[in-house]
Amino acid sequence: MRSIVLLFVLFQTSVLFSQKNDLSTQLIETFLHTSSEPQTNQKRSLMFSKSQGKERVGVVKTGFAGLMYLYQNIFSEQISAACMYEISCSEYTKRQIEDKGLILGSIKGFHQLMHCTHGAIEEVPPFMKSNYSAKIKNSVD
Amino acid sequence: MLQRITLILILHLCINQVFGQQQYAVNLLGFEDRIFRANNDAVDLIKLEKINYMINADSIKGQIVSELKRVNYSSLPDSLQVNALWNASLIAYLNKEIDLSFLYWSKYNTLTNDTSTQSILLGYLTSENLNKTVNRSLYAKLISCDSQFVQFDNELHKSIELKGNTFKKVSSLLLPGSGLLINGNIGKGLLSMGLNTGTFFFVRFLISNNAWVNSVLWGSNLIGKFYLGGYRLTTKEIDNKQGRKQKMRAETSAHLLTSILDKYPLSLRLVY
Amino acid sequence: MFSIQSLFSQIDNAFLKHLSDNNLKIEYLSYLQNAASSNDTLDFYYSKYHFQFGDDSSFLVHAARAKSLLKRDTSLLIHYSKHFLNKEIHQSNEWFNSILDTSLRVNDQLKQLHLVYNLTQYPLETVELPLQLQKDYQLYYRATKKKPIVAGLFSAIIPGTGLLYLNKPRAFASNLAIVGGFGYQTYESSRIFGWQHPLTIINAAFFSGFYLVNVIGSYLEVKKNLRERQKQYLIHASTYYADTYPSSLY
Repeated sequence: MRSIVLLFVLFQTSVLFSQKNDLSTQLIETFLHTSSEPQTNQKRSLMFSKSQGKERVGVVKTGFAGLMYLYQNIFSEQISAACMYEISCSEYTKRQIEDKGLILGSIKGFHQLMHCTHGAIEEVPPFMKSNYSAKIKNSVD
Repeated sequence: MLQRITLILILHLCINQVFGQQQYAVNLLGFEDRIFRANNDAVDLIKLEKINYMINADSIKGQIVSELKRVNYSSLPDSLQVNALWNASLIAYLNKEIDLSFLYWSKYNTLTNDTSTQSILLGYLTSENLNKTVNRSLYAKLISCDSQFVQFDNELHKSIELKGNTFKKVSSLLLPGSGLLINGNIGKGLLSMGLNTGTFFFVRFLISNNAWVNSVLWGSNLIGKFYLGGYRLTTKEIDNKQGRKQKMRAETSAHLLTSILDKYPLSLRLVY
Repeated sequence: MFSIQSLFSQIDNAFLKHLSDNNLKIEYLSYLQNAASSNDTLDFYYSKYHFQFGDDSSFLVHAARAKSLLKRDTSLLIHYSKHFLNKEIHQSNEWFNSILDTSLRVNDQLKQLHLVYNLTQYPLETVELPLQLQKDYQLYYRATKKKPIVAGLFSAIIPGTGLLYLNKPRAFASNLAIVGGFGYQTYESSRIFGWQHPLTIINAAFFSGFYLVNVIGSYLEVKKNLRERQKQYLIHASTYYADTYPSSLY
């Protein structure tokens, strides 16, 4: 009984204490937000983010996933790849393979790659051009 | 018996939480009903009451900012206007609306000419990226109050420009990969060197075997990608390094600001 | 502490308009949760709440239940119809085909909006549409007549021509350049180094891969082109009628 009362008192005190210090912490948070630019994390994940290891994984698909991982995290920055699409060609290929399987996914991904030119952006309907960047909106559907 | 008591306590806390939120929403609605039915003179006073209620309920993020914008502060009596503007400035700053925060602080300062360290500190923080003239004049006042601000300001405005950026860029054009090595990216620099060297020897092999179309198409693509890509990567890594230095500077300044706020805390004021 | 029981026995439309104009989501929801009113009326106002604060699925549920009240407010029906011209297909279908039935299409504007949407389900060659929408509609209508198998066959014979069939000359040029380039590279390297050489194998692999992608891609591009043209037409219609048919939530 005594320990429960003590726990309850400690809990209420800690709640009050955190409220008092909360304003200063929030001020520091805002200060940090205004003083530094947000850093983007460039590392891309392995292909099987959706399956979480529960799915049976084929050798070919694993090999392909490994190649894509190598390309995205090592080679793409060497060539400073700048895709015309919002979802880059490599990421789009990965997502299509996860969604539609290896063959159809690869075909769709490489089809986008073949259209990744400055001319392509002029042939898409206006609604597919992003309002914020000179890129084409695309989605995995 | 012990388990039952613990369970009852936990349930009591949870129920309080749920019904507390519902009562909060109902109370906000009550204020809004009064605002809707009030005549013009009383409307801003009720809006201020609503904001006070939200502050007391510790709800100082999100919707409260739009509530601040609804109030016509100049129609309030001076005694209320002063604290209302102070709270508005502080809350806007907490919600990362720096322009708005500075605007409210300016109105507060015009009204009161408050020379307390807390007031000058708030003005200094809000004017940092907006108005350099005001910021410097406030800094001059702060250092006359406490020399701790000198260290803080020096840290905040410390130069983070990296030296030798042009040299690194030119070097990466003359010898692909060297710019990255100088910048400290050893792995990327060596890889860039390897890829460019490989491309050179591959194109030379094609030309020596009279495979003209192959040499032109493969050569233009690979050289275009690896050589120019290496240069762009060097520029990007220089910017990244600068960004990391900026972040470190911000964190050190934040640490100094924490000790300043311990000494001169900024807090919300009671309006009524 | 504030008690709501005595004040909100009837729903006050003017007060809800005030809450809506000031974008007060918490207060609006709290009002509806505590209002004592018939189910129809509550559903009617809940649909307005969900419409304003961004939950189209919940909006459709409540709107379906409040059809009898919606019928009395044609301005509101026009407002909702304009919104659903440019939404997810299953949501737009539900609005135009299930909820906005014949009994609700009480004036010319609602009939016109229904027609404009319905043309995407049952396209007609000749139809009376405003001048500003005719070009987008004609592009959409032509897209409905294109056959995927024809595009695939064209691309199989000459790479890229399937895209020319879809009126995309730049895409045709890039496809032809890539497949043609790798094709000639394969021929040249096979002539100089032979078929067993790694460079020839790589060139041949790229050529066959891109050729296959070109054929199947052209086949898939027809359906993609149709979806894009449909979307573009509906977006333009939504923008056009937003200005032409004035309406409001209150």
